[in-house]
Amino acid sequence: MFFRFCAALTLIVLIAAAGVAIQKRTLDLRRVRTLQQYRLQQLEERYVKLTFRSQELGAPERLMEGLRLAEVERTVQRGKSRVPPPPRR
Amino acid sequence: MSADTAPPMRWRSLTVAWGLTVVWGLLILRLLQIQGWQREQFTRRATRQQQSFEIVPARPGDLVDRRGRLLATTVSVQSLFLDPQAVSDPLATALALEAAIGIPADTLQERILNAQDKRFLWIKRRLTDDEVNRILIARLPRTEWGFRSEFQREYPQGALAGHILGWRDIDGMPHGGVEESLHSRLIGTPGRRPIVRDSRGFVIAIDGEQSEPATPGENIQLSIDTVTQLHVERQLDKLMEQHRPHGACAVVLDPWSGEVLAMASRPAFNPTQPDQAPPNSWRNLAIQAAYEPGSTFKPLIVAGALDEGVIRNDESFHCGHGVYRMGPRVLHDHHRYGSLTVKEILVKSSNVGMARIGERMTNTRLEHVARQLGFGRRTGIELPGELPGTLHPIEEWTIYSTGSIPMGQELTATPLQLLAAHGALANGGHWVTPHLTLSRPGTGSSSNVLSTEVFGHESARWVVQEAMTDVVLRGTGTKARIDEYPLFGKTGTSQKIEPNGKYSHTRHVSSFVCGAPVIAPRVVVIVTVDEPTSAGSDYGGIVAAPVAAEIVREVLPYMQVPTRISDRRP
Repeated sequence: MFFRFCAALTLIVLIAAAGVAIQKRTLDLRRVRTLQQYRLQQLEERYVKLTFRSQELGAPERLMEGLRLAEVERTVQRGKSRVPPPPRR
Repeated sequence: MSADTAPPMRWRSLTVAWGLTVVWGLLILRLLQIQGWQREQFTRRATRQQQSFEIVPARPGDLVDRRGRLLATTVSVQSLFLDPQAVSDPLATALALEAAIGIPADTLQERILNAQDKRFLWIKRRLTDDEVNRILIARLPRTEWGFRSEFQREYPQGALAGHILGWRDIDGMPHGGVEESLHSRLIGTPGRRPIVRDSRGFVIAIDGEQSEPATPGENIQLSIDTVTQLHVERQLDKLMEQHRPHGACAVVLDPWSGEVLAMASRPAFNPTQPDQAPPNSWRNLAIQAAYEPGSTFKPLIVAGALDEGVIRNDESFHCGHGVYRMGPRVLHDHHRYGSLTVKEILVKSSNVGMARIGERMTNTRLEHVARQLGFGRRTGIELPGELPGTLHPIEEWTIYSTGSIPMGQELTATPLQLLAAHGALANGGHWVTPHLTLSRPGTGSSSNVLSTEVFGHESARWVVQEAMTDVVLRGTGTKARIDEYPLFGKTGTSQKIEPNGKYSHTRHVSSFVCGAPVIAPRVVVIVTVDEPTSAGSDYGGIVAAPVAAEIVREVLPYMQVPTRISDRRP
């Protein structure tokens, strides 16, 4: 009788402990998922900022202005006294 | 216990027992009420107390050009707020924030004190990363302040294509350009997530399973090309410097598809600094200014007349030596032309010759051609505030109209309308809706793009390859002649209307419409200059034609169209 009672009690405790463990595991996984979502958001945000910055740096206006300035500098180095005239119309 | 005392004891026990039974019974009934009959009502009440929904804003979509270059994007930035009721020492908080974000401490303190009855006060929105770090280092009490994440629109190409893109204010509301017209596609759908709070209002859980994620806005590819746009804007800047007009605009269009490759207007604004824009810079003159097209309208009427069979291209008209009477009106030419062929009428831009063609056409046919070409109605381009121009109903046309319409008077059109009509000449006779967005993947074609046959192929070909080519080679458009590409074009110099309703002799709108190459044109270009004020001529052939030619010279090599010079090489 005592053995049966102990066995039943142990079973109940085990089931309860398993339930608690599963619940803890679920919470852990949820936390990990939330963290991953947060990291994904951060990475996406970083990607957007870097894309924006790279497009800003590679903007045709900026590049063409750089090329023009380089051309002017080269012309000056060649000993020419004036900036090359604009393209003929 | 004696037998005499037993009955009262029993009575008391019974009373206690009954009392306990009644109390338990009431508790059970209450339990049944809470958990059973009124379960839904109490659940709703508890949920309302504990749970609230936080709106998750959707990230607006990006705008890219036809080659995928980024034109507009959205980044997340932090904004700082305070809970004024929680601020224990306003002066200390203000001093700490002054060092972090640069707002004077006395201003901050005053704002905090003025908002003592509130729980939320914006301190500074759209902080830089440095400002965020300095605030974190200041270690203010955590209950007093917070960051809120907001979206900020950024334009990596700077001031380029401001009129096409428009801009967004600090609350993300669009103003002008495709930002406004395509707002519903760009904005996305906000999501929401349920937040469970305790009795003190602190967040204790976010129910991820009930969360509805935000749907980001659609990324939209525009038909414009950043490099082409840059060339056009630089040419317009030079023009503004040289001729100091009230305004100017230029549009580059693919005549076959109707795709706008570039569109610029001056004065302009920078979408990244809208607060510094001059008040007259908001208007996109390419679609929000309607002028009389003047002589640029003439090739369209000639093509219509050829198509209707009322003239032949080898026919000659006598131009009355520069003077011609039409009913009560006397028309004049700049030169005393005698007999001119149809081609010569266009090459020399004879008003009298066009009036003679107008007489052959009659008002009904003239109106039919103008309507078919889209005058008097919006083109339908994806930009807000487009003007329809003016084309009076046929009932209001008179004998004056027969002479005026063929020379581009008595109607008004936006530069884009005029260019779309010339696009129909360039592509062999089809009017195609000018548009700014490229087709969505999988759908095949852009929405709302119509193609309507308005001219016969032969009429359009003759006007472009014979008459308009000669305009550039030996007519009013010789300033547009370039070695690299054969051009066709037409100049226009229209008089503006004075406040008294009469044509001005001093204020003009100069324009030039052209296209290249002559065979299978890849682009058509219009340059319109509103009242050049610098000394010298203000004819379209002088002011606008060289700019349009320069645009063609820069854009076609970029589009890898072989030049005549490269053709000659072995």
